[in-house]
Amino acid sequence: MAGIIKSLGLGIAVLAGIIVLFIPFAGNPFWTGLVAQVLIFGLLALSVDLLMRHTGLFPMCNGAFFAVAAYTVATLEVTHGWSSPMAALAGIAAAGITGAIFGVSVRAGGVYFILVTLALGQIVWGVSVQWTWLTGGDNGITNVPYPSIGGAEIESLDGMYYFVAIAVVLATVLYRQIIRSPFGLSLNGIRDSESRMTALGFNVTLRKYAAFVISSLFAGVAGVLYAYTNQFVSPATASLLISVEAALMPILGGAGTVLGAFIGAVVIIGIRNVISAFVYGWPIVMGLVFIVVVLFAPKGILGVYYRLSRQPDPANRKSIRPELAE
Amino acid sequence: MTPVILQLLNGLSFAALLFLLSSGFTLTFGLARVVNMAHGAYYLFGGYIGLSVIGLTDSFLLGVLAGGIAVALLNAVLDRYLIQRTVGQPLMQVLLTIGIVYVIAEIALIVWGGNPIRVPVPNWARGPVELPGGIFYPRYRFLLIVLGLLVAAALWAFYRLTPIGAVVRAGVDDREMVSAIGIDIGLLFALVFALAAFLAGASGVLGGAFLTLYPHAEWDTLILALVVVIVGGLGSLEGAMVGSVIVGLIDAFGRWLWPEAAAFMMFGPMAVLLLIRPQGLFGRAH
Repeated sequence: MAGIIKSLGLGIAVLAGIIVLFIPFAGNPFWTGLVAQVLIFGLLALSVDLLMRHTGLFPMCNGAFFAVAAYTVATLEVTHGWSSPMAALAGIAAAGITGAIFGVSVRAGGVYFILVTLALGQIVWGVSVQWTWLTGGDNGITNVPYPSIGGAEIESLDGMYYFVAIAVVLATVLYRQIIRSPFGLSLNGIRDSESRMTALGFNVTLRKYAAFVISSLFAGVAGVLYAYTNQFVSPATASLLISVEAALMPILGGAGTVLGAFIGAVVIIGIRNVISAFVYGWPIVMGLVFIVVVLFAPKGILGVYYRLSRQPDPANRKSIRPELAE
Repeated sequence: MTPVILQLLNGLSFAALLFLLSSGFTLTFGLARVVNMAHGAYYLFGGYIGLSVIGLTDSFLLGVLAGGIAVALLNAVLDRYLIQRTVGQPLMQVLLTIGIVYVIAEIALIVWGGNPIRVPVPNWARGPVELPGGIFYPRYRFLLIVLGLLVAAALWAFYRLTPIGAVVRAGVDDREMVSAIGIDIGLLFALVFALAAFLAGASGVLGGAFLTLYPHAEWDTLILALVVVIVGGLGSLEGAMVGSVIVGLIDAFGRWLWPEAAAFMMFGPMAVLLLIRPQGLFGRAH
C-alpha cells in the first residue's frame, strides 16, 4: 500500500511537472491561464509561509500587498505609460512600502497579530473602492498590456505564461536562499522561542519586521505577475478573501517545503475557477475545505501523503508550533 | 451646531450597534480564548432569521429574539462539534471559523438572495423624535442608542457586580483555578457563549433595519468588530464600550468631513494604538 501511494505521488509530481512545462501546447487558453494563476497564487502562498511556517506569525494581509502591487502596475502602465520593467519594480516597491507601514503589526503578538493584519488589509480594499480617481473604483483598471522588456514584447498568453513560470521559479529559488540563510534560520529560532533568541542577543522585533517586509515584497511580485496575466485589476483583487485563502494554502498543501504552498494553490484556485463552474453554491465547498483541513488534515495534503506512504514528513522535523506565545 | 450634534448621534447609534456586536466577541475571547471569525456571519444570519420571523409574525421584538436565539443555538452546535476541537491553536481556530463563514454566508445567499434587504422598522419606532434644542432625529436610531446604553449597563453590572460575573472574571484571569475550586467552568462557558451569540444574532436584526442585510456583510461586520476589540483591547468589556464609541464617532465624523476616506478612516486609531499600546486601550498582553 505504502509503495503504491509513493509511486502514485511520484506519478502526480511528474505529471504536474509536464503540465507546468507544456500546458500552452494544449492550446486551451482557459487551462493555460489557470496554471499561470496557480503559479502566481502559489508564490503568494509562499510569501505567507515565510511568516507562518518560518517565523511563527500568521498574517492575514498578504492579499493587500498583492493588490497594491497589482494596482500600481496597472495604473502606471495604463494611465501613465511607464515602461514595463519600471512599472513592475514600482509595483514591488509599493507592496514593500505598504509592508513597511503595516509592519507595525509585528508589535502585536499572537492572536492580536492575526486580527490586526486582517483589519489592516481592509484599508487597501477601502482605497480600491473609494479612491475612484486612482483605482477606477468598482470598474477597476482594464486593458493592462502584456509586459515588454527592452523592446521585446510579449504578445500572447503563451508568452505571458512562460514569463510567469520563469519569474515564479526564480522567486522560489530566491525564497529558498532566504530561508536557508543565517537570517532565515534566525527566524526559525524566533518561531521556536522568542525569549531564547532575545537572550542570545538577537533583535527579535526587528527581525520579525524584516521578515514581514520581505514577505510583502514576495506578495508584491505575485501581484505584479497577476496584473500582467489577468490584464485587469478590480476591488476583487483586494478582497480579504484572497488574504484568507492565501493563508490556508500553505497549510492545505502541507509540510515544510515550498511544494506545499503550490499544492495548496492548486486546490484553492481549482475550487474558485473549476469547481465553481459545476457546483452551485461552491463557496460551501471552499468552507468545507477550510473545516476539513483544520480538523482532519492539519499537516495538509503532503502530510497525509507522507503518512500513507510511510515516509518521514519534513514538517515533523521543523513543525510549526501550534501554541502561540500568550 | 446642529450638524455636529446630528453626526454625534449618528456616531453614537452606530457605536451602540458596534457594542452589541463586539461585546460578545471580546467576552468569548476573554473567557475561553476563542477567536470566532464567524461573528460577522452570525450577525448576518441572525438578521435574516429575524427578517423572516418579522415577515411571519409582524413583530419586530419577536424578530430580534428569534435572530438572537437562532444564532445562540447555531453557535452551541458549532462550538461543541467544531470550534472546541481547535482550542489552544489560534491560527487553526481562525481558519476553521473562516470556513464556517463561507458556509453560513453561502446558505444565506441561497435562501435570502443577493439583493440588500432592509429589516422593516416597526411603527412605534418610525418617524423622528424631537430632542431638546429643537433637533429632530430618527426615532429608531435614537432608540438604538438607548438600547445600547441599557445593554452596556446591564452587561457591566452583570460582569462587575454579580457573583456569576465575578466567576466569569475569575475565569478570564485563571481558568484552571476556577475549575479547581469546584465551579463548573463548562456551564459558565456555555452561558457566556450563548449570550455572545445571542447578541450577535440580535444585532443583525437591529443593524439590518438601518444598514440593510446584504451578501459580504458577514465580512464587513467582522472587520468592524475586529477594529473595535483591537482598539479597546481583546477580552475587555470596558474596552468594547470605549472602542465602539471611538470607532462609531470616527466613522460618523469621517463620513461627514472626509467622505473619500470613509471606508478606512477608522483604521487610523488602530494603527496609532498599535504603535503606542499594542494590546489596546484596556487589553493586557496575551
